[in-house]
Amino acid sequence: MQALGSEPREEATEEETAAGSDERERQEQPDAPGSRPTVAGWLRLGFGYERATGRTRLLVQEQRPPLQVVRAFSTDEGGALVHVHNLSGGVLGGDRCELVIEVGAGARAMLTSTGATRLYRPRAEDRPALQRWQVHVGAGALLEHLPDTLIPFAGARYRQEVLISLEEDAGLFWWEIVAPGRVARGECFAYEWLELLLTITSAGCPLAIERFRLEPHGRSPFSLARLGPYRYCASLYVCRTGLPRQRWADLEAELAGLAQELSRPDGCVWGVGRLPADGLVVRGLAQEGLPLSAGLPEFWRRARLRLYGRMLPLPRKIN
Amino acid sequence: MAALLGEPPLAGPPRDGLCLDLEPLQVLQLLQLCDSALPVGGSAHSFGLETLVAEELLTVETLEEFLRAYLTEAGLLEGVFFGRGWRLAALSSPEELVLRWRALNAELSALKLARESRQASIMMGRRLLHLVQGWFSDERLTSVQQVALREDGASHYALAAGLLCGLLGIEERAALAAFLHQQLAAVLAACQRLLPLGQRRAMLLLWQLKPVLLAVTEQARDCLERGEEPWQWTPLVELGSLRHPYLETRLFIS
Repeated sequence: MQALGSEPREEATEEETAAGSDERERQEQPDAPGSRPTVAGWLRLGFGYERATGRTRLLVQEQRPPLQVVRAFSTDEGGALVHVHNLSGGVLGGDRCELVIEVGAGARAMLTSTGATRLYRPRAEDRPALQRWQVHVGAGALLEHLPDTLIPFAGARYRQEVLISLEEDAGLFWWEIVAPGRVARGECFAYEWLELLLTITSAGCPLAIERFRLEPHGRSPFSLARLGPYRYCASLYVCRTGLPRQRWADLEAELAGLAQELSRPDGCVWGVGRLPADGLVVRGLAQEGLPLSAGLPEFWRRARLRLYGRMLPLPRKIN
Repeated sequence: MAALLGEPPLAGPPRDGLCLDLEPLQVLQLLQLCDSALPVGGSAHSFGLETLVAEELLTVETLEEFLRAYLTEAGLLEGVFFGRGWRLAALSSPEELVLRWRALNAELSALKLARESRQASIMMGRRLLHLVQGWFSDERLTSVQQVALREDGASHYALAAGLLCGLLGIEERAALAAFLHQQLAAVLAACQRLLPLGQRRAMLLLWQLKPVLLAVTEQARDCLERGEEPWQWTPLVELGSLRHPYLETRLFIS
């Protein structure tokens, strides 16, 4: 695999401890008086398939705090599992974090978090926090992104942009769970706003686009047009480009059956639908977080079995 | 009514407020295009509402609040794409128009994550483009109609309706408001079949929600003017659409 960027690193072995150096020059706007100095986190990961061993290796790794990756672990099928750390323990007001993920042809990468992504209360003068993902999955490659829940604290202002491009026969499992806040502390929809944007494309054609703005004080989440009686929401995108429509119709029917099994009208509902091409989406809403965090892996395993012939255990957590 | 002989003609009410630049013929054309009885198949779809009713979430009591929020989310998205379709009429080249038409339809398809609602929108758009064949002649319309005939030629209703109004030269704001009015009327008609909602109550709601329609019209035009993307977050309705095929009994198409 060709190294990414203008400053290719030596190949990092799976066991190698990361040296978090990043020389990237960035132009940041000046911070407002009284606000936190802007933190510009940066993480760039490149995965490559090594034909001789049949394994995926983490080949490119650049990072700047608070984002950090310690090492890659091997999965049961020769893929690479990486835990994305946020050394701040969460996203602070004014943080600008960029993650660039390149999965080379034939490689299999799995990303997870080390815990819930906490979106902390910012100072009034802080700029909104921003996290931007640019993801490219090469021909015949697979990326699985299985993070923990996003928890917006009271007052949080956060924008997340995710742009994923898929090459021919590229696969994707990408899930997200959004909590209403720190429910155990009595914080429920106490954040200011979340903007969640996601675009998945294949050959320049959009497969799925989300443009969500959650603004509890201006647009009640409890409206039946939004969450109604539910508080947590989850989504899972399952894609593999180039598969015939009938395969997706079959998988949709199978996962819809699972959705029916897992749905409890008074506590949790699931639905499944095909995208315009090359994939499907699973959506879940629940009053509590547990049914979603327990249900998503069921859909993931079932879809993985059908699309890649094998289930894997959920990624182990490290702290 | 003609003025009585010998009396000066009545001046009519003052023309303050919204002043539209529409020819009488355009008013009639808009009335026909935005008639809730336009045979494009809209009455066959509930866009997820049937599931919400079946699960006893959507009731007559909660309907007005639901519609207000639904219009500000889904209505805004539809309104912006209607406007984008309307603005395509400014292109003189059929080739360029078809290129932009395809891109906009692909984008709207990707935004409509629930397959059932996406396909309903495409089917209604195709029917509309088919329906207006012979109504008037325009090379650009013919090009889009040919695209719509292809299996992969997604043609969403909002874009098709917008393009038609643009080609007819019907002022954008009036056309957009009328389109949203038609959408709301269709939702109310579906609710009349699903809920114990009488005609008087339905018509009252349609009347009372007009200010919301106009506010969404202005929001959509702001998005169009600023080149901004509209937000839409209607997860429960989307789930209703995703789960609709699995209801035990259904009045509407899945």
